[in-house]
Amino acid sequence: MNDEFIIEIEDLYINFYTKGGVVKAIDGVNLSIIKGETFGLVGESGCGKSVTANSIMGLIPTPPGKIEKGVIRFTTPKEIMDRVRSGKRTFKGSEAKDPKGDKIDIMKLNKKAIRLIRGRAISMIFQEPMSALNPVFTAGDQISEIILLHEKKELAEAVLKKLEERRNGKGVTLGYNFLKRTYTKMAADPDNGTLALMAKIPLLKSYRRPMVREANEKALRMLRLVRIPDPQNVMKSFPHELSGGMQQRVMIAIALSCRPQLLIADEPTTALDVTIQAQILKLIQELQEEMGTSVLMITHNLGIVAEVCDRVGVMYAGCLVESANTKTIFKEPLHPYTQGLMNSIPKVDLDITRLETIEGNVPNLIKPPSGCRFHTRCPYAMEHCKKEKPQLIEIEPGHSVACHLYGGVDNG
Amino acid sequence: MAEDKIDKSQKKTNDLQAPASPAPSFDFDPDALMRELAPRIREFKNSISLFRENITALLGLSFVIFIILLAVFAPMISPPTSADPMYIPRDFKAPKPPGADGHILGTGNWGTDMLYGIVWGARTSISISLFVVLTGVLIGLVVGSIAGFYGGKIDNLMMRITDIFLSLPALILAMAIASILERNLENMMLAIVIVWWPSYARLIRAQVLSIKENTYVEAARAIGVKKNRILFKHIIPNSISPLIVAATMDIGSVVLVAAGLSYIGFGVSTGSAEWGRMVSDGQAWFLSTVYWEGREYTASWVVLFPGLAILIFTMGFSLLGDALRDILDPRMRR
Repeated sequence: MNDEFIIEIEDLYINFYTKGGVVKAIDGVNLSIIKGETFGLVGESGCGKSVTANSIMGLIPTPPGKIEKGVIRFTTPKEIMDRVRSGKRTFKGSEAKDPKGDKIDIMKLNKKAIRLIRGRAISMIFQEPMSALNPVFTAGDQISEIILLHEKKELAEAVLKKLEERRNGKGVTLGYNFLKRTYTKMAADPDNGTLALMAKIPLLKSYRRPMVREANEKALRMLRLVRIPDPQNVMKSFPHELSGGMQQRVMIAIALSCRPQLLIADEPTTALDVTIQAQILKLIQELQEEMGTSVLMITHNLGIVAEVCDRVGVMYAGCLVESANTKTIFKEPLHPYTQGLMNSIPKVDLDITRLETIEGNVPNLIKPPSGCRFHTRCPYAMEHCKKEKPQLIEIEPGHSVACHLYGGVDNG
Repeated sequence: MAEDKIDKSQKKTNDLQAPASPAPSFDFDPDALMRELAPRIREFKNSISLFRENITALLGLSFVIFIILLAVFAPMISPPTSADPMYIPRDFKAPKPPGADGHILGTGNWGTDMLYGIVWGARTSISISLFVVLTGVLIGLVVGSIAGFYGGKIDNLMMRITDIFLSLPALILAMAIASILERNLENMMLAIVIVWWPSYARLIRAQVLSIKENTYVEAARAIGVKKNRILFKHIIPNSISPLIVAATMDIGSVVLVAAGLSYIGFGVSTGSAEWGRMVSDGQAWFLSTVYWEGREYTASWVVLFPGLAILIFTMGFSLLGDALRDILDPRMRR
């Protein structure tokens, strides 16, 4: 059962040390994503959805952020595992020097090792495609960049193959010996220091040209994959020349170009209009099936959750309060907060003049409420709720909730 | 600067476009290169057309071209008479009015030929301003981008050093430095560079600080790009355009400072082809009465022409810089 998880987050605590005080942004989050599924993470703004996602990528800015406690176990593909193992000083702590099996604790990796995972094994799609693309480079350049970063080995092999073909077919090729030696070296060891140095020397760096061309070809294939019409032209377009939907497609192409095991989509459709939203969601779903990628879909739109997610986690003020199958959570939400969320969805068939809301505001995370963080707004709050923080308990298989209302069931 | 490069490569590809047969991808392929460069060329053409619509830009450009032509054709307009071209030929007599004795712009203190001074002074001014601005930009770019990007202690240290330079009045500091060193053109340039780079460092640091918060920088980190590469590939290209504008506008101001330094005597020696020095030399005769072929003249040309040269130079680069700001600003572009 355990082996099926692509990522398991256990007991994650993240604080941000600001001038106003310590923001307890993530307070004991436990969640795991099964291989190949789409896991939706919903909650109000500022409840820690994006912080959770960034912690998976190792992108929490420190300082001010600090990961106090927690394990993020990521099931790493073999080739990355080998490179992580072979690298010197890959692990921060000594206790995790020899990771068991194929699981790696992302928290314990150093900067160099985490760069092997970022973009390659875990990718991210951002909220606003316009600002997530660099305005001074063409779309093609930006897709090639990630391919050149992570797939040097594959590119070098492709170049060598073409080199041999050309040699056999035509005879003379300019700089054959030089190129062959360089690319054999590259295919054997993509992180070779000499080659990296050569890439910085004018004239000598032209050895990269065939490789860059290979990467461009792959970028073009990626653009076709994300169903961009006229990919040749889009390759050469700057981000501002593309529409929002196109930009997001380019972002998806960047994120998926190394066939990541996990794709984090941080509100991928918030900045897009409704018809484009549907297209983009459909695209993500199709590509996910094609590549077998797991997706962590961060959103505050319950419509999207119902549409694309297999399982859902509901977050409130830095805690995961409920997680269940999508159907279950819409049919029988257990946590009062989840119930409140469901009630506040406008329904077409009900004739009401006012929408139901959850009373009050999100608590200040510098001084979060004691006990259950939701008790200040909870209609069923008990005395007990102010004192003790409820644990996430499994009410029925696959449906967990953190609320004292259901604690009794467990205790007998 | 970047646009120059594009221009060159564009010409190159045009010349090499002749072979029509599809070249193998490992040899040099002009068509492929052309295709790769197409977006850059398109942007460049767009910039050119924006530039053409801008009248002040064209005015500034024509001033600048005029000065550059003067500098380039200096040996033809007024050939040097001694080994040192900075030495203005002179007859050690009182100033003569424009047109007298074949001196088109008249003569100045000790009978120095004004035309010679203006023409060769263009060379001096261009070399001073280019050297000062380019060196200043280079130092400022390195210091500012490192300080802004890495932050923390490095930032503090580098910016405090910058503040030390900025806390003293620029001209006074330049005077102090120039007075310590030997009195020549090179040392004057050095003195100006030392007071010049801190403003660029501040400018680029502020830019880097704002650019590095952009989502695309985080996106670059999220795909596993190294820190240094993020700085050079993602941040600097996005933060450099205000620096280009400031540098272009400053080319004119450098000449003003240099002229000021020469005027008060820290710079080239008297009688040299440098506009500031010429104004200073002419001051002795300014508005005094001189006689030429029996007629009376009020000597205004001794400071008027070098002053006009400074004005044209400064104004040309300021207008050009102003136009560049409009063109390089992505919000103004479309």
